[in-house]
Amino acid sequence: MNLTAAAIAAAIKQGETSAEAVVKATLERIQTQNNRLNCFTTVLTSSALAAAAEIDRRLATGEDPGPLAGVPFAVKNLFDIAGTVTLAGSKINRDNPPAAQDATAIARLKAAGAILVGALNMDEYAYGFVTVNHHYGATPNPHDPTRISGGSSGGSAAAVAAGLVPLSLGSDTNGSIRVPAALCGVYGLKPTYGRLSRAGAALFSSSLDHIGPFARSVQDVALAFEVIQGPDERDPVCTSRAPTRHDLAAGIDGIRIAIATDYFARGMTPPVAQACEKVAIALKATRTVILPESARARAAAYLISACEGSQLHLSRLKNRLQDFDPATRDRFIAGALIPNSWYIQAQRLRRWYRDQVRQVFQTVDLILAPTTPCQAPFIDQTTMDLDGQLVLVRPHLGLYTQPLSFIGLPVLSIPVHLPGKLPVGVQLVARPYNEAALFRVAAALEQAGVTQASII
Amino acid sequence: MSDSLQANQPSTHPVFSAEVYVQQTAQLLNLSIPPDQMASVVENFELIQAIAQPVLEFSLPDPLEAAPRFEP
Repeated sequence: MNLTAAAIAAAIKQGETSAEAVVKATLERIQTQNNRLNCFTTVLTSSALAAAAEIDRRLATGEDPGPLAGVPFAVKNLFDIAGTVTLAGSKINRDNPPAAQDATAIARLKAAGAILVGALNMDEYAYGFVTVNHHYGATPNPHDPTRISGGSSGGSAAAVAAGLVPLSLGSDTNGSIRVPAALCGVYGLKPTYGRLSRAGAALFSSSLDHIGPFARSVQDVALAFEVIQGPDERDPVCTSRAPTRHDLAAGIDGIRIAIATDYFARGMTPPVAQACEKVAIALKATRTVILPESARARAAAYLISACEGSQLHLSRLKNRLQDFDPATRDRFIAGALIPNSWYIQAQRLRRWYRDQVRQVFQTVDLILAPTTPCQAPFIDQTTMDLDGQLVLVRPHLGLYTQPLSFIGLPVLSIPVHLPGKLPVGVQLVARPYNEAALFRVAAALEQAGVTQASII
Repeated sequence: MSDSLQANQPSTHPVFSAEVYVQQTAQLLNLSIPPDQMASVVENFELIQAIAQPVLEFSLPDPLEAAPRFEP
């Protein structure tokens, strides 16, 4: 399927095809390709076909089923799907009862006409950047199956990159939407903290958890963001701000763009530096800004994630330890032992860092930064060379994403494909609640051919 | 205080043992760590300890409180 979500909805509404035909073709693709791609852990054949028939019926009677009429989508398997057990990448959760209702984000996409076709692979309990899951296998990168898709929302990024679905949902605590989006060459949006309801999505670290969409066009990302927005009593951090609509053709005039330097200009491989330069040149961005103490911010984000994640899973660490993925198990235990003063200091540093970055945003509207320090590493790779230093692959993938999610800034990772190279991502970073600037700049770059997310 | 007396005093800052800390704190939390995983848990804790240092060394003013409901 090489159409975007918006194009599929338009084709269905104009009678060029039907929701049923689109969903059948999607299910067939998943059936034939998932063995190789290992994106889906659950496929919802009968409910998807029934939903498609209902969309077609409503169209036949003159109803408008919504802006995503008949668009197939899939979700990271930590989102509740009514009637399905929410795995969150674990073996342990298989013993849970099926979810009683859909996660809010799923319900809102469905209300806009979209059709849920399944659930996608991830790192166990979202604690990882690789999607190499002990229980459900690795999700290989569609661009090169010997490499990782990134994580923890790896299935969500790979399914979109491979064209299994045009739209998916993931979650991002320290980079888990942006890292796989970059490594798989698609768009991935981590909105402002609290902007999209997380109700019905299994948490990892509540202070830092966000949800967001993946797609192959800026319009699709913006469309998904628009329909999922809105207050939600089921998520205590969800904002009560009114939903926004976005004009992607507004251009970038009046948007003050700067390049993050210092911390965000060190420790990357040449293709990543080239991609950032390409985007900066296209936007005529020359000004640089420093987000002070970003290394400390990243460390503090690590501490908060470790404490909150371990506390959340403490009962399972006590009772089901041997059923954890060995890749997460010992990190979770260690996190449970952190003294409280370390956690509180990290939370206070979060407030301090937020205030510093707010100052920076008084004179700029959008900041450019790399998404990952490298292209997709090999599945079994443990170390890599960055600026002449040998570092561990897994923790370093979040080098540039962690400080930004730490303070809840809205970030869109945009895909840059340099000739003959694997894709990489560049982060567009805006002040809180200014997703509109992300979409305007990303749309201009897409229009100019600087970014692209074509199907593998 | 003479040197000899000082040498006989127990140190007020004994060397921290991550292994002892992990064992004791895990017991306090009623968390059982199998012997074959202990080395890995200790290694993970030492990593966290190293990551925490720059956060802990950073001076913050007393009035700066954490945001109880974080507003980005």
